[in-house]
Amino acid sequence: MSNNIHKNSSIDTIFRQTSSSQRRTDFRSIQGSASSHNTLASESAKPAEPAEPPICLQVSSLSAGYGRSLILKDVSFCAKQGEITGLLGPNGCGKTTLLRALCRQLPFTGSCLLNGQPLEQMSSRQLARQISYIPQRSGIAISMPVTDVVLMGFNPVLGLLEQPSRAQKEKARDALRAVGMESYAEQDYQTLSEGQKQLCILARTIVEDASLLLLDEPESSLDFPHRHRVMELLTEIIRGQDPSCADGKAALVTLHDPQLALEYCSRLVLLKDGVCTAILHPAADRLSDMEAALSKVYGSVRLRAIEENGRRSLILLPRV
Amino acid sequence: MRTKQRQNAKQNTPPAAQNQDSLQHSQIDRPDSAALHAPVSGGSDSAPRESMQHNPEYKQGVTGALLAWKYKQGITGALLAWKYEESVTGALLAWKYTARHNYTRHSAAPYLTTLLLLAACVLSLLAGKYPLSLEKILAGDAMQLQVLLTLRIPRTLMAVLGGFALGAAGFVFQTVFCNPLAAPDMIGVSSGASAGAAFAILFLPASAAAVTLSAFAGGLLAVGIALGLASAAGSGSIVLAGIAVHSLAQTVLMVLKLTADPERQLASIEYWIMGSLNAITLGRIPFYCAVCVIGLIGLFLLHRQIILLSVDEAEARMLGVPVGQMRLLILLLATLVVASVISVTGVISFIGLLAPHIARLLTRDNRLHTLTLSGLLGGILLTVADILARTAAASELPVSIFTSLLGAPFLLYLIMNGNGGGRHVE
Repeated sequence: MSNNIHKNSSIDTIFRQTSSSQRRTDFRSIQGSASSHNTLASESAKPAEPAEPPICLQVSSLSAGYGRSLILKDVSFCAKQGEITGLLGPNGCGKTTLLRALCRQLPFTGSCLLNGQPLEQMSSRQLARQISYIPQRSGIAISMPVTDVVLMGFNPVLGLLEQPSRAQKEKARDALRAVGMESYAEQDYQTLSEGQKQLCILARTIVEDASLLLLDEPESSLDFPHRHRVMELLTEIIRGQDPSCADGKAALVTLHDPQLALEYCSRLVLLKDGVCTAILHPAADRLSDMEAALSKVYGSVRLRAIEENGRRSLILLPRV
Repeated sequence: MRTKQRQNAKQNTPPAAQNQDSLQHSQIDRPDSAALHAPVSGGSDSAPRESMQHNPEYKQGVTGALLAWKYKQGITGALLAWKYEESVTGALLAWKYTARHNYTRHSAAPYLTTLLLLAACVLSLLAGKYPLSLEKILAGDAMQLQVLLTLRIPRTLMAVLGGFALGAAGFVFQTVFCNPLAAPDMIGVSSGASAGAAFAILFLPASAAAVTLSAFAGGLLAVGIALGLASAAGSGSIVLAGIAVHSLAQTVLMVLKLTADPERQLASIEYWIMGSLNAITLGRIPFYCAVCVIGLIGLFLLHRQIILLSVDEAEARMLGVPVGQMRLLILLLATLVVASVISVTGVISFIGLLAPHIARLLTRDNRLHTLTLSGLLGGILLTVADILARTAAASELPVSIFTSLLGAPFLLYLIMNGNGGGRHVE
C-alpha cells in the first residue's frame, strides 16, 4: 500500500499519476471487492476509512432554476476536503445550473453549507474568498500579461485601491511556476492557446487559496495531454501538495468526459433531468453497480476495468 | 548624479574577470526591472547584463545604444544599452530581451509622448492669429503677455487636459464594455450635453457660461437617466438604456433645432456641436477643470477595478468585484470627466476612440501605463488639432475636423504596419 503511495511523485508524467488517496482505496477495493456490498447513492454505506476527510460543502435538497422553470430538483450530495467531486450527466441535466446556484447567481431553495456556514448568509466578499470559480473558458477578452491575470486572484483580499504587494507578486510567480507557465509570465494572455489559458487560470486559483473550487467543464476545449495536466494539477491543488496552498480544499467539477471523471474523481454525482440519480465512488464501488448507474444516465454503456501494476483504471464503452 | 557615478566608477574600473564574478549576486538586485524581466528558461543567460552596472564606460554606452538602435530593437533597446553602459554586450542583450518580449518593446512610449505633448504645448502657446515669440515675451512686451495669459494659456490648458480626459475616458469605456467601439456617447453623454447647450442657446440669456453649465447639466442628466434605468432593470442593460437615452436626447436636440431661429441660433447650435476651443477664458474653466481632474484621479486609482470589470461578469463577481456598483461608479466618474470637457469645448469626435487604440497598439497590454498613454496621446491629438484649427484658415475651424484628419491615418498606419496584431479587444 505504501508502495503505491510513494511510487508517484513526478509531476511531469501526465498519465501515470493519480491521487494517492485514490490509490489507497483502489488497492483495498481490489483486495476485497467481493466482500464489500456498497449500496449506491448512500454515503453511509461507504467503507469506513481510518481518517474520514471533513466535509467542505454539504448540499441538501437543493432546487434551482431560471425564472419559473425548475432545472435542479432536490439534489443532495457533499464534497469532502482533499477530494475531487465530479458532476456527470448529459447536456441540459443541470450541471452548470448547480454551479451557478452555488455561486449565488441563481436563486435556490434548500440548504448549502460551506464549511458549516450557510451559503446565503455569506457576504459576496466572503463568498469570493471561499469559492474559486473557474469557467469553461475564461471571460478575459482584453490583452494583459499573464502575471496580471494571476494577480487578479488576490482581489478578494485586496482593498479597493490597494495594489498587489511584492510578496503577492512573488506568490503569483510561484503559482505560475507550479503550473509550468513561468516563462509566459510577461506574455499577452490573448496569445496563449486554450490549454495554456486554462493553466494560467489554475495558477490564479492557486493564489486565490479558496476552500472550494468550482470548475465548469474545464476539459471541454482542451486537447488530450492538457486535459490530464489540468486534472492532475487540480488534484495537487486540493490536496495541498503545492506549498503555496493551504490544506483542506475541495473541488466540484462538472465534466463531459466520463473517462476523465472515473480517473480523477473520488466521488461522482450523476445527474439526469435535474435529479441526482446516483453517487458513485469509482475507486470503491462495484463495477456492475457503477455500470448500471452510468447506463441510467448515458443510455446503455459498458464499464471495463484494466489492471496495470496493481492499479485499476476504468474504461467506459458504448454498448455494441 | 548619474555623471558622478560614472566618474566614480571610471576611476576604478574593475577588470573583466571581476565582472564575471559579480554577475550572480547582482542579478537579484533588480528583481522588478520590468523591461529586462527575462524568462528563467536558461537560467544563466540573463546574468551578463548585470556586469554592465560594474563596467560603466560612457563611450561604450553610446556605442551600445547606437548599435541597439541600428538593429531595429527600438528605443527601449537603445535606452537599455545606454542604461547598462556596455557596448556590444549591451546592444546584444537589449536586442535579446526586447526581441523576446515584444510587449516591453515600447515601454519608452510614455516618455516620448510626454515630450511630444510638451512640444505641442509650447507650439500651442505661441501659434495663432496673433503669433507670439519667446523673445518678446521674455522682454516683457505687455501685449504679448496679455495674449499669452488671457488667451493662449487657458486654451492650451483646456486642449491638453481635455484631450487627456477624452483619451483616458475612452480607454475606460472600451475596457469596461469590452468593446473597441465603445465611446462616452454610448451612454448618452455628448448627445445630452448637445441638447443642454441647444437649450441654453435658445432659452437662456446669451452667455458662454450659461451654455457651458447647461451642457454640463444636460450630459449628466442623460447619463443619470441611463444609469438609473439600467440599475432598475438589472445589470447588463446599460448599453441598451444608454442607446435609448441617446436617441431621446437626439430627438430633444432635433426639436430644439426646429424651433431655433435659423440665422443666429441654429448656426451657433451647429457650431457648438462641431466643437471648438475658441474663446476659452481663464474665468470660465476652473470649475470644469477641477471636476475633470478629480474624475481622472478617481479613474487612475480604480484602474485595477476597471480591468477586472472587463472580465466576464460571473467570473468577476467570484473574484470579489461588486460588479454592478463598481461599474456604476466608474461610468459615473468617466462621465463627469467627459461632460466637464465637452461642456466647455463642444463635442469633440474621435479622440476617445482613437487615443486608446493607439496606446494599446503601442503597449499591447492594458496596464496603468496604457491608460496614461491614452491620455497623453489624446492630449497631443487635441493640442495639435487645435493649433491647426486656428492657423489653417482665415477663420477658426471646428477642431473635430482635425482630430479625425490627424488621428485616422496614424491609426491606419499602425494597423497596416502589423504593429498591433490586433490582439486587443476585437
